[in-house]
Amino acid sequence: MNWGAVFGAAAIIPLLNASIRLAVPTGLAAVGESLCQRAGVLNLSLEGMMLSGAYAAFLATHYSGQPWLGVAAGIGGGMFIGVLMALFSVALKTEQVINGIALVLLASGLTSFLHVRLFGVTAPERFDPMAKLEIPLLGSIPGIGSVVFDQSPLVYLAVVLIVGVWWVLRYTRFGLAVRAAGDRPGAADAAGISVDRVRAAAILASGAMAGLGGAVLVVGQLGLFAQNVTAGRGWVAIALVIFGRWSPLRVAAGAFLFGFTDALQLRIQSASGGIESDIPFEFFQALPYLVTIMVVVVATARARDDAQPESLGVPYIKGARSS
Amino acid sequence: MSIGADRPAPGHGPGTPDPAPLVAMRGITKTFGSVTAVAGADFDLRSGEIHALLGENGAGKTTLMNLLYGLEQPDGGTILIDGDPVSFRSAHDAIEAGIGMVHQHFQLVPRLSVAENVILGAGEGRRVRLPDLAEVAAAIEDLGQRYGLGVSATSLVGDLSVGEQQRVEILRALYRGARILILDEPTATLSPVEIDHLIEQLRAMAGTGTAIVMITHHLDEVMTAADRITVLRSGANVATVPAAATSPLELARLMVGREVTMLSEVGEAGEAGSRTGPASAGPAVLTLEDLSSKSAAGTGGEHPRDFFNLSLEVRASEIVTIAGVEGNGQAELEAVLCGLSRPASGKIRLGSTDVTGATPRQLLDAGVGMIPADRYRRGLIRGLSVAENLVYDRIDKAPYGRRLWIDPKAVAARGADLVSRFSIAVRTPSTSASTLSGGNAQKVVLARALGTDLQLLIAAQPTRGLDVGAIEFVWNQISEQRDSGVAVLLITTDLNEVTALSDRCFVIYRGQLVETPLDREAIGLAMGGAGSRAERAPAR
Repeated sequence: MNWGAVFGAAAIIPLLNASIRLAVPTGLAAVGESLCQRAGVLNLSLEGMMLSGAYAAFLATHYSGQPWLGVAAGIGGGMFIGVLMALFSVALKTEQVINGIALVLLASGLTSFLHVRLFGVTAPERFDPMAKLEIPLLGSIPGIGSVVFDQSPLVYLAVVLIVGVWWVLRYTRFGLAVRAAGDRPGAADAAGISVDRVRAAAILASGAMAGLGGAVLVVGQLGLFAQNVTAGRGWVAIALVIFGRWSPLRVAAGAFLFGFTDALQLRIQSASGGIESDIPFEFFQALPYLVTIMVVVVATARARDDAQPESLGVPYIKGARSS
Repeated sequence: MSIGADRPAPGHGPGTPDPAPLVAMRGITKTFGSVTAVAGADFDLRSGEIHALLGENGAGKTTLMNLLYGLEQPDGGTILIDGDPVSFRSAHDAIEAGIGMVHQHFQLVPRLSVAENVILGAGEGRRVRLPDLAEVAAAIEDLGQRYGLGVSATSLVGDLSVGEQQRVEILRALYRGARILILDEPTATLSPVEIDHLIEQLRAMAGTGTAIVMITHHLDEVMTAADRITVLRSGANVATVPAAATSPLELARLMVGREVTMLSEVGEAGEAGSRTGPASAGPAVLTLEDLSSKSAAGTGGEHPRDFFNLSLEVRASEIVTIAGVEGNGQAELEAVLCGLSRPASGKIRLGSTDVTGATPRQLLDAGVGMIPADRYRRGLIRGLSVAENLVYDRIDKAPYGRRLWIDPKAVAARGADLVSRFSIAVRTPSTSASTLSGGNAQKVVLARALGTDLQLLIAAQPTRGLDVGAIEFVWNQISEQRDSGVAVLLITTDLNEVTALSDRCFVIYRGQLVETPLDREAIGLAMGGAGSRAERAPAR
């Protein structure tokens, strides 16, 4: 196997560029999830949000030919699952874990069903993924320029959103309300904050970001939709929230790790001769997931802080006496 | 005791209404399901006064103030502020109207800083960005200095002591412009020194015109802190009196009321014949030696639920009572005695055996019967049948179970037997326990505990929430156990129960025991902590 093709000087810049690109769908979903969990909602519907977003983005792009319309539809698709999640978990106060899993199954079944109904067994034609947009001047910085500033516009949007979530949590009234609602919803309520509204807003934001993540996958990278195209990225994103100790920037760093492993396995796969190789390609495909699980286990076992929101996963029922 | 079942006519009128009080609550009612928490209460508050709201547990003090603070909405009655009727949909509305409330359990987020906690929810919706936290912190520290409520505004709340957290709560209310400050049990978690300090601060605030409501059941603090006192009983106000014109004794009488005396007469008549008295008590069965739930070394910040250095002996054929207002350590004591928590220090002996740290299983096998205070959480499994509930503490023993199997016939037979012996009103023993009324649920708990030979019975709040008939049944069962030679430790908040059953009585107050004579007024005063400062101070 030609390791130079994987790690060589000429290969490293495209590898890092691809790492960022591949990190974006998971990163968007994970950072949105971190906001949601900081508000106290354990949103396990994330995979469903991504999938719903991915399919909405695919349909809109397929029928309109407008990738940006696809992106908007993807956000809407994620928020659709978000509305259901908020309805069950916040308005009806039902068990968050069950709702989340049920909504993943709903999104998976619904997208597969619609896809077969609309296109039959013959997959529709691919469309071209959104073109890269090299940022003038910055893009010509040697090294960094080609890694960071030669990406799809969706990547820049994702970076802005991820930093935005960090800023919102830290510097806005809403962010303070989110942090309070996730730790001590009763205290937030007594301070005059509507815990329900804050949590619903956090779920919708999470839905929008996960839906965008799904859209990036379809519109920005693949140019097609296949059943369960998100392939568990939503679940990985939830694991990354724990790895990142509920801090958006650390979560984003975790997503980069996932993207890097993904880029690496693609590179190793092609360097080792593609399907001709002795090693089954499924092994390579599983690699990013395995690495993520291992890293999360190690990071969680070593974590001594109690960053987890105190009331994570606990429905807030006004007036109910806790402890 | 069934609250509101037959409420007595108020002993005193509500006092002459003020011409223009700052707050006037008129004829307020509030029910939760079938429970009436507030039944037509009136309450007045003037600028610059400290007004104590006094009453037993469940008298409706906190609910009445939650209604003023907008956390709950009244079912009936009017609230006037500055003479204008108001209706608050949430705490937010009340805050806007200049009301601040400091809850018994602080409503602070430990992982946020003092400054963040203070601005949390304030001016919600107006601006997106948070104000500059450094400026907020400076303003808070300024405010703190003005009233002697010093805290470091940049610290995390979780790092502060209980007393400091309370100051943060008060500062938060003041920062938001509160001119009406409601404090729910403000001294419950404080050490005596902190209490004195707090009262000084409150006096200073009242001096600048702030109106302060202090919810409490501590008589001595009421006497030193308050200008006026309103006593609530069963959700209605019985009297409003100036502190200068009353005494702890009168207040205790007002809190407990006439209705209670009547009930205790029933109790005394019921057990008069069977009483054997402490003289015939046998050898020590339960011995507590210097038992503490937490090391008493810490100062000031210890949890109010802890208890310290308890020493006690319960002998065969006697009922020893630990009386006390809830939250003075008796719940933790119950957990330790039932093997659910471990004490931090000290010894528990059963006869001559050391059972410190024994598991519930070992205690049950040693002949300890338990009637837990929380009968629905610890006493029953509501999804199981009555018969299953009656045997689940011995389900692994013959004849009910062997190896992996249980014998449904033996379970049913035992169920039928206990149901008839304890006259539990169910159609069949296989009925689900979730259908039981309060009295019958307690009979199941009782039957399971007493349906075997005991040497010690630990009964915690055994008649709480029961009606008069069920109370009598429970009392008779407990005194029968005593008469048959069992040592009984009774933990209760109910004065009637104390006088009806006790052979000896201790009062638990802030985690410490004081032996008291079997005299209602003496017990009542000790439960309110009156005159016990000297006794509780050394342990802190």
